[in-house]
Amino acid sequence: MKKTEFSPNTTRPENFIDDSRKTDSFVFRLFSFLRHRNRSVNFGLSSILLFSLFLPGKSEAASFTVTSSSTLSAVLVSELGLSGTGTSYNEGSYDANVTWEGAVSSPITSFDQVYTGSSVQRVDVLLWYYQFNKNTESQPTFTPTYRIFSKTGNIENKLSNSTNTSSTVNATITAQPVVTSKYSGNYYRSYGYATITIDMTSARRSGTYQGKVQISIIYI
Amino acid sequence: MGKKNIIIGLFLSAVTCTSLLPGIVSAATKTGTTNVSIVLPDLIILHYYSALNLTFEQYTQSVNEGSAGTYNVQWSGTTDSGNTMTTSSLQNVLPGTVSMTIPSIWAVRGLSPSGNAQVSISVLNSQLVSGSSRVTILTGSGNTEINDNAGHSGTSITTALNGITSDNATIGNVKMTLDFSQTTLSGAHSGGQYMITAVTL
Repeated sequence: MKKTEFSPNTTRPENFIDDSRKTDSFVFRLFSFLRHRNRSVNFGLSSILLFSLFLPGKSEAASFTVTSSSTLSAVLVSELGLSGTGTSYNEGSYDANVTWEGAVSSPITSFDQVYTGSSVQRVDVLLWYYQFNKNTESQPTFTPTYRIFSKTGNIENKLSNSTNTSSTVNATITAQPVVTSKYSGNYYRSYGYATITIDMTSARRSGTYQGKVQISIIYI
Repeated sequence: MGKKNIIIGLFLSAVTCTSLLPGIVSAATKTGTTNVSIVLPDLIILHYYSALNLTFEQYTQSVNEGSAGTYNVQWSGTTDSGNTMTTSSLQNVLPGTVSMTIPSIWAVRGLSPSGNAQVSISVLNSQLVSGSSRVTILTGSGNTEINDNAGHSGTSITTALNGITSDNATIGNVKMTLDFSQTTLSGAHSGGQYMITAVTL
């Protein structure tokens, strides 16, 4: 008989978080264990095992997958109410009195804000999903919690510029309700989305801002 | 079948059935980390005034050029000596050129890869005219320049953008030198034009 080994962690993505509810793998391992313990396993016992092994939809256990990285869509100047990356703004007329010595009276000047907003929102940021077989598992209830940190992980609610970490933007993250939909066959997926709001008032540089989202999901 | 196998068989059946029962799971926690990134665009906003109206103060002054000296006057009315005024002898009470710094006349803000911008000034039309009377904007370094109140001055400077909010904008001045040597009329002289250009760095 050809030896079969079940090694669930060898073919899965690095960020895959293995789930403990592996009915099939347990049975398979036990079957293998019994073969080594006693090669004269009775027919009845084998029937139970085979019945378990060939149950439809039991070939893959439920699993969590956490998105390793998420590139949010780039901020457009139009989101700030500007028409282009370069804007010259006419402040009107400047009237001043001058003496022949060159002293200029200082009129009161103030510059308009021009843009309409300084923050942008990215909704439906996928952070994780849970895949399960609806025939063998009832849909769990998820309570996700998200926190967002700077790239180095020591400042909460900040993203930092990739080339100059002193330039930061404020970031807040809000969990969205978990959405479950059919994926394929009997398999369904529950998706964990979040809304990330970026406030750019403290930014000093253009370019890429990076951070990390800490995900904690309680499920029943 | 031996006793040992029966015991194992019962144990296996129980475990298999239990494992197939749906919903017999307890609360669990999963954790993970997702790296996020977002790109902010290059962005620069230059604030400027489209019209600059400078009003020079009125100036009236009598200038004492000293004694005219002793004139020898003949009975025919002819004078044969004494001091006379020439253009070169007149005291320069008013300067021919006036340099002034016009404060807070431009501002920049925005985002760039370095956080800075290059701001430069050029004179597009140096002549302010009123008929045949002219006031000339002198160009070049030392005459018409910009500065940012942060120690940078010249016809082209590198200055900080300081982000997108107007509260943190870099506000600058313009130094301008006017030449009145060809000015013969009072009143408005117009037509001069300078341009300020700001580019992200």
